[in-house]
Amino acid sequence: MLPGFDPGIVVESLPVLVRGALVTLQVSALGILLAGVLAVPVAFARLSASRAVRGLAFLYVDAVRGTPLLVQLYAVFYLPPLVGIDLTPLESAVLALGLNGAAYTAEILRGGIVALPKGQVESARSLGMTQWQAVRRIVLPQVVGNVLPALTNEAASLLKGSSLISVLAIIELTRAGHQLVGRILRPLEVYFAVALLYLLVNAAIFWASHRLERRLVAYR
Amino acid sequence: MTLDRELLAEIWPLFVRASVTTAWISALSMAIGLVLGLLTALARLSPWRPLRLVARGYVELIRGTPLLVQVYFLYAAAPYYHLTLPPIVSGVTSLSLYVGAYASEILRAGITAVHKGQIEAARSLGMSYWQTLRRVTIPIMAALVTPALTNEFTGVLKWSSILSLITVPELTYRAYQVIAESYAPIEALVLSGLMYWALTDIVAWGGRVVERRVTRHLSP
Amino acid sequence: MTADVPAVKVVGLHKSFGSLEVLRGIDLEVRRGEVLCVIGPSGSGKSTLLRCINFLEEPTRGMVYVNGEPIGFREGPDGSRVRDSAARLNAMRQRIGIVFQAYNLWPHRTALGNVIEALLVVRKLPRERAIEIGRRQLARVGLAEKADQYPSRLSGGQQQRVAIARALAMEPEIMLFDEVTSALDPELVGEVLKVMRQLAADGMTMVVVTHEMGFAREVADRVVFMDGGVIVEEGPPDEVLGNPRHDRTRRFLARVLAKGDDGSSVRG
Repeated sequence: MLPGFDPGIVVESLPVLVRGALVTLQVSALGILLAGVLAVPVAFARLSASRAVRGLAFLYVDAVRGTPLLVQLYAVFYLPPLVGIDLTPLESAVLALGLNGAAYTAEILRGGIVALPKGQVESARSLGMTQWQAVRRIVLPQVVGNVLPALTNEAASLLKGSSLISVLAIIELTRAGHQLVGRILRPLEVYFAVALLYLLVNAAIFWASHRLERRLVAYR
Repeated sequence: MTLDRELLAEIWPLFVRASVTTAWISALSMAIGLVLGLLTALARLSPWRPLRLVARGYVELIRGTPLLVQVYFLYAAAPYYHLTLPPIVSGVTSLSLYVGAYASEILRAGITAVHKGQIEAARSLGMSYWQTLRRVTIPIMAALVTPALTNEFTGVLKWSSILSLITVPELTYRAYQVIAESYAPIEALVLSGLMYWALTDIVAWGGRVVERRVTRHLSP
Repeated sequence: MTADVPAVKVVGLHKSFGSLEVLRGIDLEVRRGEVLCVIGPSGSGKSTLLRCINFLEEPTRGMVYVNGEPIGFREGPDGSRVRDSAARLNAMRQRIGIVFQAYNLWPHRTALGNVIEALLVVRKLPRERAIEIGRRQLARVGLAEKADQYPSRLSGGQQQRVAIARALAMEPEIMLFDEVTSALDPELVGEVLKVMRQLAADGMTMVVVTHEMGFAREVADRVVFMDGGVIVEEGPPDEVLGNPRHDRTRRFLARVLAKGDDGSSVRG
């Protein structure tokens, strides 16, 4: 093994790190969920007939994609209190991850929606479905199936992005590792264990996505 | 919430200098990352299995863990091996390794998209492996990978913000300093945000210019 | 609703896309139980007329009445047009079935799934009831055994028949057909026309935009020839197709028959 690598320390550090990983998992999951919920209206706003709505949605997407998540985290943490909104660090973290992910996810969805043949919606409307029914039952199921690989990458990217919430003093996996290194002075073993846990969660996301994809696109 | 003009005037030059730092750190990491990425892509397509495995392990490890963990690791672990790196060297190294892994995936897809017959034609005329790579494969590939690499470059600009957490004096570091010392989060975040936004837009624009050049042969 | 109210009544219909005027004043009535075939060169506005009837396109001027009720608009107290509520429009659309050239089946639903979708979400029928109706309609177009297949497994002709079953499942009073055989391979046209012929025999009110002159001659009660956004001539099929009064009609028919993209006499 590597010089000075003690597997025993990896095992010893696991309990602390797993506790951090659970926080990572929880915040990422909530962030991904929020991103997904917000992305749908943003994607449709980007395609809206109204110039103002389109412009506003574009501004949001472009601003998020043009600035680092770390700056956005600071913004969501430091700015709301100035207008009297108090968020816990955990709430700030989920909000920032959600707002960030929503912009990227919206662009993925928009691409999928544009690629869908126009007649799909038209035939739904001709049978008396409302716009929303057509979107929910005809458009989204297909679009989500078609863009699932891109959505999965986005989810994995949010999981990794969640490491940044350590700057809000939330003890998630990265911060737990960082603190442990400070205490026991064994960076190699601790970061090995941290990496292992991230890789594990990452693999779980892709595994789940594969299973979902098989179900969503069974019609192909 | 109004902007403090006096403070803005005071921090403005500092932020400009910091964004120059962000720009060159990113450009350097991108350049090193591209070379690393190309070598890794070639290694992954090598007929020699151990080389393929090492390359694959590198890519999976980097892509499966957060950049912050990688940055912390290199920064914290190096001293234990009697290797004291200044933060900026440590940071650029991490960032380059990060870009290398992602770029290798883009380049690998580009290389495999180049038609086998096109390469065979070059080899049959007596071109060496490297000549073929330089004169046939890379030019054809460039058209295919430019959009993804541009996207990667804008990504590097944003990810470089993470180096602020190991005290590299780039844009986000300056922003955080102003928040912490003057408690002026609005001014700091608006200014740094706009500068990131401008930097990413410049790169995106440059990417489109390059794309037009390298895809000339594709337009009718 | 009395028998003399026309199933469809089009009054002074104009439609422009930007500066392009596609329909320039169409007046038309379709009686209940009538089969009306609309023919004409591409770009003549046939499809746009059809799409205006169920308001997939919004008329620039003029009105369309379905069973005497205006669709898409209400008449204001001063006789002006007011946009109607989405709910009422959706309710009216359920009474008008449309089948498209490109089938427009939903690939993520099986044949049966396509047919019952609107029954579930628009009619809000219980699932078992919807399936019962769906299977009956699939049987009606001869596809009972394909109920559980996804569209990607069906031929073009089969997909188009599923699309017809999907429209029929809503028990429409009027069926609109928009060049439904144009995208099909020649050998698959016959099976679709057969279903449409049966539908006509059952007494369905149909407006059929088509290039199949054989079908028009055989099945239509009345043929309308459109060119340049207006109705050039209309009448019984024997007259319009056999002995057209207008030059433009004659030229069109000569071209169609010469090109042989009619061919329906063979297939019909």
